[in-house]
Amino acid sequence: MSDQGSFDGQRVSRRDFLFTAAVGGGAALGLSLVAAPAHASNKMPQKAVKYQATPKGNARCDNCSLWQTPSACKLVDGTIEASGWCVLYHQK
Amino acid sequence: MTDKGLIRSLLASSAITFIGIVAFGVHRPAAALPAFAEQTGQACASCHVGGFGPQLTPFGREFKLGGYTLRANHFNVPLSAMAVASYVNTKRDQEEPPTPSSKTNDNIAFDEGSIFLAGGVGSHLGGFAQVTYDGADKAWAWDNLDLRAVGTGKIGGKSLVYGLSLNNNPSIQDSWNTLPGWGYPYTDSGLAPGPDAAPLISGGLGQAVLGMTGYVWIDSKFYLEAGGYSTPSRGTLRFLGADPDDPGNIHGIAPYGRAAFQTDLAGGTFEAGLFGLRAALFPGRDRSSGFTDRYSDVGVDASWIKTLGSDTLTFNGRYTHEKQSLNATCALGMADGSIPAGPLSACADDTLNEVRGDVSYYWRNAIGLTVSPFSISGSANPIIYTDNRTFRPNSSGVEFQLDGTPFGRGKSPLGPRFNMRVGVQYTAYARFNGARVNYDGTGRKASDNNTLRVFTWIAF
Repeated sequence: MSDQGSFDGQRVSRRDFLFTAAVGGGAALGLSLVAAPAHASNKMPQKAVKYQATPKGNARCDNCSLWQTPSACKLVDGTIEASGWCVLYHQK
Repeated sequence: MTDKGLIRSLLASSAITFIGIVAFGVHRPAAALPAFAEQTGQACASCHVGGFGPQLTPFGREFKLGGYTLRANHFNVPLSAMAVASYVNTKRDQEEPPTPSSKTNDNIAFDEGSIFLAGGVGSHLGGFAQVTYDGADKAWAWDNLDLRAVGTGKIGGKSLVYGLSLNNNPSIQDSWNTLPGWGYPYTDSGLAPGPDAAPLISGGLGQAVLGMTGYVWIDSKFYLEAGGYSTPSRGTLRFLGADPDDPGNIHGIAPYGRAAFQTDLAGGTFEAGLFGLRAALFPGRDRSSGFTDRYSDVGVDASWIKTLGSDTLTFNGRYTHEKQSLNATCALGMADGSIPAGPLSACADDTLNEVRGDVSYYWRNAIGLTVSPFSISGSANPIIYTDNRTFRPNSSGVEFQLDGTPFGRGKSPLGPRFNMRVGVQYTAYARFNGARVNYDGTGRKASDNNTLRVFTWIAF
């Protein structure tokens, strides 16, 4: 016997209710967890982009399109040296 | 409200919420790169090896693990599209046309066209949802889905990313190109012949399930993930364009787990990991046997990527072992007479092993060469593999791909949003469905299925 009846019926099946409740509850829990994190930022950790405090040839943070004076980057977290470099370097 | 209506409403309200959040972030008009490239201000090649396709660079992995939230601008249009067309030739004609509207050989076809809603919203929400027109099925259906809620912090002084992924294919949320979700080949054709057997995790549940996993990514080195999958109702899957009975519905929750370690090695980035999935399925949603088909998949994977000047060298590999107990399939077959009556264990218990690897070299993110050997092997079973002369699932071979991506660095004459890859694939089979020669009892050789495919793949 197929279980078609319980899925195509005209009422909410218990299984689907529990499933959607679990997914919805999980999502709500997740959102509440991330609502106020200790370090809210969508920038990359310096390590993740192989940031170094020294330039790579002529490529340095203060001539990169992502540079934000005096010592920050649009995409990389933390204090950034003007003379630094990372894999996201893109000349201005 | 019906169950179908309930889930439809849930999905619709989620999508509307997602779109709404994106829309309210408008501050200035979009620039002109495909959605994620535009959002990050990076060229395609920053995230994708060869400037195209799903193979991720270490930065691309970080972007995905960060929930697609990294943003260099205030707003961009969170939409992208892609299309794939190809010519497929097999060494010998296929025995039957692969689809009702195709020929037994030399098919030129529109493989697929997709629309993506893709973007990050603030620091905590991001993802993508893909709908695809399948040229072989001539129908629209939902495709890959990966919606994330993420947070960042510190643990022991090390960076921490933690998040949840709502997705519809175990491993589609993974950030390495070793697992089935985003493993090589990155494009293929439904009109090309392929081996019948594969572990369940190798695409068997794609777009047939919905699941949630939670993960942590510590110090850009340690990755841990756990979660589970269930099957949406028949009505929901039908609404989404998927076959509601293929492969069936999961009994309870199918747990999924993943661990990976990534580190610098030999001037490149090395990763090694483990993955696993367990599922009990009612095949075709038929519960009447009282049994389920049980699958236990465990695997190991490894990858290495190295930048050589303006070139990139990559390696991806995985090994998957699957234990099957197909009690439901066998009991149902015996009940309807399609399988001879006998001990259930003689029919039901099988193992499968899959090994896949690929090595790619991309010259200036423009010209790529990939070599990818593969092997599927497993226990003989005259009932399950009844069409294979040897009753074994074994297939093996190697696939080659030469491709060109002229605009992967955002320099297309049609604007930076337009990107294209053209390529040639050749798949050579040493074994196919159990044997090198006469694998199906009609004299057909494995090499008769050797396939040449020429493809064009555009994204914008």
